[in-house]
Amino acid sequence: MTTKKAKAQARSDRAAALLAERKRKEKRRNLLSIGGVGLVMALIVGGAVLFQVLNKDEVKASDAGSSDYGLLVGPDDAPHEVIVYEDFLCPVCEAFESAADDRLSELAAEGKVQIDYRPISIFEDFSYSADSLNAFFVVQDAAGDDVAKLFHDLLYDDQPAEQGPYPDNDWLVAKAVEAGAVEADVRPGIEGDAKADAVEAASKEAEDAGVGGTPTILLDGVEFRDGKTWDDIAANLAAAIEK
Amino acid sequence: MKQRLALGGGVLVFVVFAVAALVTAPDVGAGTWIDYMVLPLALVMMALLARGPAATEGWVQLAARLTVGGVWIWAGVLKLPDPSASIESVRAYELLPAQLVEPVGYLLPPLEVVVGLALVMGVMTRGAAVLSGLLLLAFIYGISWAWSQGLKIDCGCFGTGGANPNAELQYPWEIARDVALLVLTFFVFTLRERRLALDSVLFRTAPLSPELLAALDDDLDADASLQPKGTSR
Repeated sequence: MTTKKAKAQARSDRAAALLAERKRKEKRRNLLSIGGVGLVMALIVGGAVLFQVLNKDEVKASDAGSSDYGLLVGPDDAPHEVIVYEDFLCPVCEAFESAADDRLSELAAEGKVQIDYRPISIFEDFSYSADSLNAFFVVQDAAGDDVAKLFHDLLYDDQPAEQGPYPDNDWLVAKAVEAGAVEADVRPGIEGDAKADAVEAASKEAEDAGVGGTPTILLDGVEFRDGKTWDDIAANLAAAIEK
Repeated sequence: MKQRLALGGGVLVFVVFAVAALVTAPDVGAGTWIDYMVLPLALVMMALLARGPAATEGWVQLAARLTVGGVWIWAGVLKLPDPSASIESVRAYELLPAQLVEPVGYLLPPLEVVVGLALVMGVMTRGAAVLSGLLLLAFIYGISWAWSQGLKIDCGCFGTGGANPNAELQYPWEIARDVALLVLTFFVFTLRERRLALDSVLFRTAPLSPELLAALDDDLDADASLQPKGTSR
């Protein structure tokens, strides 16, 4: 009886041990699978982020004043230079302009900064982007930088929605006249797309410089994008100039 | 229990879409096709779960996985090519501190794609469902926040992003869509019956070895009163 009991007990222990061993192996295998698959997923995400960060074009803009398609505000000997690539249709540019423009103009007037506004047409699928830029170059050519700067401000004050509807040429002419241009000097150019080549060349120049989106802002040659909102970015930019 | 959950989920989905329709009336067409597609899909799945035969559970789980996973992949792939637009979409919410805007803008698109792929393939399904649920909760919070602050932004869910004058007509649809996806994510997490999931290959239970089977057989034959302890399962 006792031997039979002992034998059965031994068998039972052996079975228990085998089962426990099997469970342990299975658990280990599952943990390894979870770890392995999790690692692969993390590597894919991390790899994609790294790839994008490394592939980010660093913007290498030419010095302020050296582009044929810019508008300079502020003295040449100012201690800081700011370059602003922007599209008249881009809503974020409008957000930046409304937050920063007054302050930047003051700082330029005080001689603390020279700003090179470089309007480009990056919203290629939307006609207003190129039309407004053409009008800007026509106004700059016919009436000079001061009028063109005012025209630029007026366009942002009254920016159409990105998806349209867009204002017509008469509206652009009216804004140009409001800024101080003579209608007869600007109407033919605005209606005839006289500066279409400049629109293309300015946008191409920005693209070659690595500008991937608007607004792209450079402070002393380095891209500036520090802030929780574009209001913040504008305030931080002004603070950095005053330092 | 499952029937009750399905019923609750179905009612919740129906209510958020009804509210969205009421809020945006008469412009009920303000959402995107994805917003509207998710509603009938979710309702059909809930109905099947509540009323269908027990065998449909695995298929409902598969349908939920494919829907949620498909939307994640779509959302992520559209954003991948333009990281700077993704960053500006994140910034437009005015919710994250400046230092976090860029990292989150870079991280979200690939994370969405990987979560989507994991759900579609059924790899680490429950883990992916947890991530999916957390992301959806964050987005629902973000969109509600933007709405409550009077911001008029595109949610940036599927690329684009930035300002959007029609935003207030789209927020309710975006929230309704995300709530429906959240309910589906919950069911992906809860339903243990799986169909066509890589998990069942990855984490399959190995068949009992002949040696072990023999030992267990001996055991049972030996003496019914001497059942091995801890092996009764």
